[in-house]
Amino acid sequence: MLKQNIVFIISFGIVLFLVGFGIYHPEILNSASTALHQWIIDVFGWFYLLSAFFFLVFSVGLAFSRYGKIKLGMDYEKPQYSYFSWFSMLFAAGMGIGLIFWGVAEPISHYMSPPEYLEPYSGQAAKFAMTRCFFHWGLHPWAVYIVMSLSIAYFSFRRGMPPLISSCFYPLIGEKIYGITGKIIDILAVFATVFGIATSLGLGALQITSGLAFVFKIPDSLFVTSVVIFCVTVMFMISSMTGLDKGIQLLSKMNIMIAVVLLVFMLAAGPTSYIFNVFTSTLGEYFSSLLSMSLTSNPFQGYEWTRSWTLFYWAWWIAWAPFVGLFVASISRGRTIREFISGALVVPALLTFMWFSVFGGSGLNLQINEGVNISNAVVDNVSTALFVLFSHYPASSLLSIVAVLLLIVFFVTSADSATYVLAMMTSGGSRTPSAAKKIAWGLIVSAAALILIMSGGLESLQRMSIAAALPLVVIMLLLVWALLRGLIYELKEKKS
Amino acid sequence: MLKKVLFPVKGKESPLKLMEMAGFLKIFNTESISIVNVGSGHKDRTQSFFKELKSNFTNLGFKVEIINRQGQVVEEILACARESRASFICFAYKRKSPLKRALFGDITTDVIRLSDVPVFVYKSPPPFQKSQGVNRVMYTTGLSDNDIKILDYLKSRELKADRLLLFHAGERAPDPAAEAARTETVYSRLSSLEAQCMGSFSHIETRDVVASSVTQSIVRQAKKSSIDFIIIGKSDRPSPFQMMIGSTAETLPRKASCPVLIIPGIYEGIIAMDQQAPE
Repeated sequence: MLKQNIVFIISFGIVLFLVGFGIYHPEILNSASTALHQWIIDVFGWFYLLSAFFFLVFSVGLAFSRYGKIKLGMDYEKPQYSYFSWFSMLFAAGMGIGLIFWGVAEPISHYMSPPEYLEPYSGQAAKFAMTRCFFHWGLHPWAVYIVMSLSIAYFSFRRGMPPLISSCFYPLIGEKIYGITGKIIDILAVFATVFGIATSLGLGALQITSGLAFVFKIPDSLFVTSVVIFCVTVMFMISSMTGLDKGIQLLSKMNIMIAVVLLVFMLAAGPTSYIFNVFTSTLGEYFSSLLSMSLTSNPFQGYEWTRSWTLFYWAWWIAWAPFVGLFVASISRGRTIREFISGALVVPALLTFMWFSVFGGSGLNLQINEGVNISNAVVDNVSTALFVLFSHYPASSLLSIVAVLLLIVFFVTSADSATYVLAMMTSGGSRTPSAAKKIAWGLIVSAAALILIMSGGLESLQRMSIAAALPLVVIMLLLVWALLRGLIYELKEKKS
Repeated sequence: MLKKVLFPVKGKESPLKLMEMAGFLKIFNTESISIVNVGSGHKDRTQSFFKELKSNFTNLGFKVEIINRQGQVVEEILACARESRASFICFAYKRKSPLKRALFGDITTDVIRLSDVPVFVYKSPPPFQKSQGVNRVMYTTGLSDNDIKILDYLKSRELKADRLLLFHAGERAPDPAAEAARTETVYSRLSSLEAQCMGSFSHIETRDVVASSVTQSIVRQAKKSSIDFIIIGKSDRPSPFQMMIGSTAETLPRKASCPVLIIPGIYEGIIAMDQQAPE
């Protein structure tokens, strides 16, 4: 019993300890996490860049290789979910809430504070802003997720191992995956997931509160944030109990539908041709400078900018990879490697590009052509940027309500899938983890988010989560090796 | 099968080591040695060395001829092997630093890579093993088609050794069930090899290990089992990675602490025989 729950006990203990530490000594946690985070980004920033680029090249290469035909499951298996369900769940777990948060704020932020070699508020800065948004949210994050999820899906559905990150290491370390090495890998994944989701939950709750304050003039207070977290927790717990096939799938479909409705409305009501111009030219710029953006850390000028944006994002995607990877793997059974990679790489990236073009493009249009100062809202409170944009559109209140609703649903979906993944990771990879574990993780994640908002330690937790990305990069590089070993072995077997 | 050896000599080797090596060749029942010297340019200095070597080898009971060639060393050695219809090429191993190897290359490695006939690389056994003579042979099999060709050498009555270790080092399968199946298949194929070699050795052992580095595991196993010399087959179709860093057959002689006999792939042999046929 103890052996079965060792990952749960240790990771739960570590999380409790760090959250407790964050409550009683927020300043120590803050300075320690800042120093650690700073050091990692400073020393290993280039490593993140190279690794993320390598994951992208590897994913594309694998999709077009002879291994692309191999199924993530037995040869006779068919995909469990339809394309629409699959894409909805992919998108909701991988990006979702972040896009709503940053859809307007990030392009505006880059436009007003680009690296020092660009003139702020210039045409060049606007072009740079849009291209970088595509870059940060485009192919690379999905390549990172693909490496993780593909390995887990291959080893669990094709090779019959439990769906855990440690399982993927069987070709490299054999039976040791059941020992300390395997447990450390799984604990690290739990650690990154808990802190990532707690931070996301906290930041999302703050944005929902801001949205409610903006629309309904409800005071933007700690009490309201607590109520939001409580409500969201109850909702995702209920959804979590219904399981993957009902709750998460339903919520994800709702998400994507609301998101598409919002997107189409903004496209129609906003400067449509301007948005399409932004989309087309940014897409061209993105693809033509993909290689240089992927490998440029700007060591001579603008390193600070790269560090605070690109490297931060790369570390963040990597820290999220265990959660998204496990979740995406669990919904991808029965697809071929080629189908999986092309689907997970192209469709969410295209939707993301469209989202940024519509919301970022509309924001930039207001700022540049209409003389509306959206940048002030971004400086004041990043989470209100979207609502400020809506205020210049017809039916702005309705739009804001829909956006808050979208935020809540995305939120519940992310928290729900994270709870499911955490319970799965701490139940030896069981696809039907116990309700008790889901509740335990749900409560700890929500409590951590709330307590850390109160004590001011939320960002410290985010930095701790990002610090976990460093060992995760190494783990992911080894996953690539293990996956290749597995695939090569399989084709050799077939030939012989 | 290994009656005629082509022996490239520079003229700088230790005569003692060469004699030791010639003594070792007796286990193959080798009868004649063609000593080849490629383009040293210092004929006077090396002439006496070769004369002495010839007389020493003759005293050991070998038929000896000396061939002098000019040109690119590896090409000339291979051409000589073809022309003299040598059964195998033999080198007395001399350690080279990695820097030297990177700068000047390694003739032995190049010949192993390019040769269509077996290559034998002699390394002096550790002192405690010298007195025991040649007794234990290890065949490291990749369980490929090459086994058919190498079995001829193993079963040959000319190979004088008592104990044979049939060794396989492979990569772990991707999951425990596949790994169990892989182990079973490997042992069944090793057993089949064992059955075919039964009459030629008094004791045969089979062993399979999972290894990330095949070369390292062969070296470790050879040391552990006090192996006197290793037989290994060379892959006909090396992977691009092997072409870059060298195949196991190419790197093993450098890392092993005992002599190694490298037998080229089954298809290379056929091609070589086809090419020789019109003559």
